[in-house]
Amino acid sequence: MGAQNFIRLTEAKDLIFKKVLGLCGLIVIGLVLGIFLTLLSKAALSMEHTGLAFLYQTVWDPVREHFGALPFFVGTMITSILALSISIPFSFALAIFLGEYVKDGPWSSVFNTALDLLAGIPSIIYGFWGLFVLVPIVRSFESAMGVLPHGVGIFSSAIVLAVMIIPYSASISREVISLVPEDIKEAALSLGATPFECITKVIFPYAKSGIFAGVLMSFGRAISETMAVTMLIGNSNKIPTSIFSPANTLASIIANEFAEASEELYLSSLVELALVLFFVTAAFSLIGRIIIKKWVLDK
Amino acid sequence: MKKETCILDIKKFNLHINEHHILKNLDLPFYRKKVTAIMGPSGCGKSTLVRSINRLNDAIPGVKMSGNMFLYKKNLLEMNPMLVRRKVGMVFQRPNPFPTMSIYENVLAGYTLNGLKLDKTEKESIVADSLEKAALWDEVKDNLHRKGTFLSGGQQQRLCIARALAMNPKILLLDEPTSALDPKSTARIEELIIELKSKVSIIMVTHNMGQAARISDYTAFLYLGELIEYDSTEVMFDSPKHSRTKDYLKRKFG
Repeated sequence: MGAQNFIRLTEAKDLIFKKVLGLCGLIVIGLVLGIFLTLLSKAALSMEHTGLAFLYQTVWDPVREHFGALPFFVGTMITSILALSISIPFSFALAIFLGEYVKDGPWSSVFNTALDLLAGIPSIIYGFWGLFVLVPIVRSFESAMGVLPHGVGIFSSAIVLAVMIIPYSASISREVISLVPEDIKEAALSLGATPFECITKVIFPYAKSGIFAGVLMSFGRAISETMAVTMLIGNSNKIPTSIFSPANTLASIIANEFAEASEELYLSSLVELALVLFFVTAAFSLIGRIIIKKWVLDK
Repeated sequence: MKKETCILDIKKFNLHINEHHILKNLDLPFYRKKVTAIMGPSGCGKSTLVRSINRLNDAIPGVKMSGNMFLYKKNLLEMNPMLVRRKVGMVFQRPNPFPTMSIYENVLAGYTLNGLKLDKTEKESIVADSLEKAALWDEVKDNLHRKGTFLSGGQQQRLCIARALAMNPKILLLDEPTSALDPKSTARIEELIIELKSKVSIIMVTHNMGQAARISDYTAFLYLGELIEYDSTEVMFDSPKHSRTKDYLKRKFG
């Protein structure tokens, strides 16, 4: 009988354990839904007032109650794409270095720890570094180029963002590259390929969709980065005309103006910007996920 | 042993990985256009030996090699490993065609990977010729531009053989080429190896004694990194001299 009880007890424990885990899962879904609904309800006023024009209007003038998100959408895209194109070659090189050349051993942990630390630096520190170190350099570069020497603007933000997303794209690509089966690498080497030829002609074609997904996910990260960008982008609400212009991203305008938005409509418009940001980041991380899934199934 | 032309002469070859002595003072001549089987229990170093001939062990951390491996008059161990690998083809345990390439591209991979340019007619004749040699042409000639991964395991392995043959190697190394295949595919590959020896010298690692007996001309028996016995396959199987060889053969057969 004791054994019977014991079994019943463990079964009960198992059941409770399972329920608790399930509950945690449900809470996550609830949180996402809750945040989404909050944004939706707070943005309702703005939606009613501006309608769809919110998405394509080019003027953001809270005093006259003109609310258009386009400058920020454009600012976000240009900043993120620029950041991505600066960081991709570097993170790709880094991923090959870590995934192929220093796979294990003491150096591997040194490099990987450094990469993790880079990911862990608070973005306000990046912002400070950008203001004190990067902005003066960019400013003198701009005067040398003959453009208005703001220093702050899309270019400075993109450089700092590029540094901030390196750990993301590099670590995803590193994982993908180290998943390339050893036997096809050996096949390439056994045919007389140099390590470089093996990487460019065998490893890269095999891993490219996974690497692309990593890039998309770091793009999502770049889009939503707030603090450092707010400090460096120059906070201009006009559609940027060059990569050196000051601008604002969806995230930076919210951070910048949220505290002073006393009007209800103004606040609601900012929340609608947040909703747009929510959709944009969700879309990119979803696409990235789908590609990774497809890639895993293909192999 | 009969007088044969030696194609690869291994002299006093030692391989250490850190403090482990993996291959011990091997003296082993391989003969031209013959199939030589390397047998021995797991962990005896037979795979390590063929991988050394292809210089694939160079990348292992802590590896140290000494001695000589003469391919004709040149010491493989002192050559550029990339050049060695073009002269010495290798086929692995598990078929490993490049999954991102078509059958056609797989056969030509040795050229494309090395950045060697070929014109279209050269390419086509190399592809047809190599697949012909690997007894795969008839089965794939209508699907040359499909991915190699759609083939069966045995076909994939023959594709890998074609890929190695495309480079016109002097020596073809086979590292347990049938251990991942079903009996029927194994029989095909065995037939193929017998056909191929008129064109290329073959060194084959196998733990299947029947296979060694069926297709090899010479057999080497390795035990714990030492060469215990090396002779023509007939002599090795009929009247082995060493007690270890006898035990090994008996245990496997009995």
